[in-house]
Amino acid sequence: MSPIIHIENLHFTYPDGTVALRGVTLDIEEGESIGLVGKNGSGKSTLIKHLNGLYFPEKGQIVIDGLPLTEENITAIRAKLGIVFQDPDNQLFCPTVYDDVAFGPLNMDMEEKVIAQKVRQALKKMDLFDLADRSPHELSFGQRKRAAIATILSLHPKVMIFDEPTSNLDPKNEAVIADILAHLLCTRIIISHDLPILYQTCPKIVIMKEGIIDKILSIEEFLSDRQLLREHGLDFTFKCDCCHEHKQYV
Amino acid sequence: MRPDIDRYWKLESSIHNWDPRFKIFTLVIFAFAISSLHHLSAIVICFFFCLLLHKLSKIPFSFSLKRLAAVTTFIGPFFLIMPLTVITKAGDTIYYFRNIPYLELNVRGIFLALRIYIKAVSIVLVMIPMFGTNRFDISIKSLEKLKVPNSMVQMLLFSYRYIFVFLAEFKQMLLAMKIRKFKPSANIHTLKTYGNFLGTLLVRSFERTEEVYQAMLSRGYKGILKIPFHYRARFSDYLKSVLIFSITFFILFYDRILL
Ligand SMILES: Nc1ncnc2c1ncn2[C@@H]1O[C@H](COP(=O)(O)OP(=O)(O)OP(=O)(O)O)[C@@H](O)[C@H]1O
Ligand SMILES: [Mg+2]
Repeated sequence: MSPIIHIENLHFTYPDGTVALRGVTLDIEEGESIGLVGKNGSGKSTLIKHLNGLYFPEKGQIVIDGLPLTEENITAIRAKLGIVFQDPDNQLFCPTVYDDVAFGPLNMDMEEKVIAQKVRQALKKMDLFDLADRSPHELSFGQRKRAAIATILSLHPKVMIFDEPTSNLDPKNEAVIADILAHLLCTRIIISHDLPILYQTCPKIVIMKEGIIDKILSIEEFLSDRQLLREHGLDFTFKCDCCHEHKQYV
Repeated sequence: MRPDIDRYWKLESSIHNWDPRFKIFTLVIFAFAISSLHHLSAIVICFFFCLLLHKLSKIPFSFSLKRLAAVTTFIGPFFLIMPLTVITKAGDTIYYFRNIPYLELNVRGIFLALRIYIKAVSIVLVMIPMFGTNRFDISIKSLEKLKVPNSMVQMLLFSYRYIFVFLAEFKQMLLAMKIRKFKPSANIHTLKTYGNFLGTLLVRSFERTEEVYQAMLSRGYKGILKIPFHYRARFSDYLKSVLIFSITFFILFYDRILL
């Protein structure tokens, strides 16, 4: 079976001369859930913005579910692959939550009845049904994060990408989001610096470093290699170490 | 924070249940008619009619008073400027002052200012029921049905959404400055700080615009905002519009032909 996402030798330089990607090659199979990790500035966000044609490769090739990334295919690709961006305020630009969740389906020219049904489903799934008529600025941060996910869910994409889905959330909301992510059935790419979230949602980890894929490994291998974690700015064990040291005082 | 103009959209009144497309179309034309009136008596009649409309909308008058105060501070100076600057015509009453040689006070100027002022107040009194009796985004959406260009409607909707984000950002930065013990005073440091403040705000808004646009593209946006729209006009909507149009017509007739 051919992979649902095929990336080959992808290069990209920002207009200001920053080289962000220097030859990324990666295949993702349908149904996989991938954790994409790496230090700040390693190129994770830049990479995912290529997958639905927000940026076009300067060199290299991308194929999404059999469709090469070209101008003609872009609408079809955007229907297949949804991105939930980090800041929910940028994802929620409509006057009401309902409008925002309906925005994608409306653009895909679905029938009104179908749209209403999809919006209702997405809102229910994110437990936002009662807040549908609220304006996004009247929601809490956690609710906005969920609303941002609902705006993509209503499109029923084959692939969902999350850029830091749990950043700035309190532990309770974090757990809620992690639970939702873990139970989605579509192919997922989750960018995160949060090891517990990754552990809960991603059996496979892809590590980026300075614009290339550095390593691909299982979550268990990844978590057990402290050297590796430290190298990629993800070592959280020091927090536990501190606690151990101070146990005598507790 | 709530958008202020539509604070009372949940009340119920004959203005509230008037289809927003009809309401906005009719009242905008009425407002234009007011601004075109020549005679003070016609303007005063309109003013009372606007008061009546406002009363019908059940929006508390205290709410509107703030807006009227804004109009007053804007137009108030006209009462001083116009009598002093209006060009003298035959038949004008003019006051001279004995010890200030060049000062002339033309009474016609006062009446001119009065006309402008009552017109402005009347128009504000119409605008409040016009936009205050529906949720603001619904009002804007109905503009689309009134053939306002889509790009304009989009701009209004986005301003409506992002003014709050912008304000929150503004407040946050202000707080950050306070925490770091910034005290404004009349020196170059204060100026520089304000300059940086505005610059940062601008850059942030620009970055946000870019990201919002990417989020829109990701969900299939192709330049046109598709707006789902489910108003159905009833007989009463037509009736209310016809009523206001007739009144508009009679007032114009009175102003232009009878007087
Ligand atoms: N709009 C832009 N213009 C110029 N350079 C950029 C732009 N966006 C990102 N970069 C640069 O490209 C590189 C990769 O950035 P990217 O945002 O993809 O990293 P990231 O892995 O998502 O980091 P983070 O974990 O901080 O989100 C960085 O060096 C960054 O400074
Ligand atoms: Mg990033």
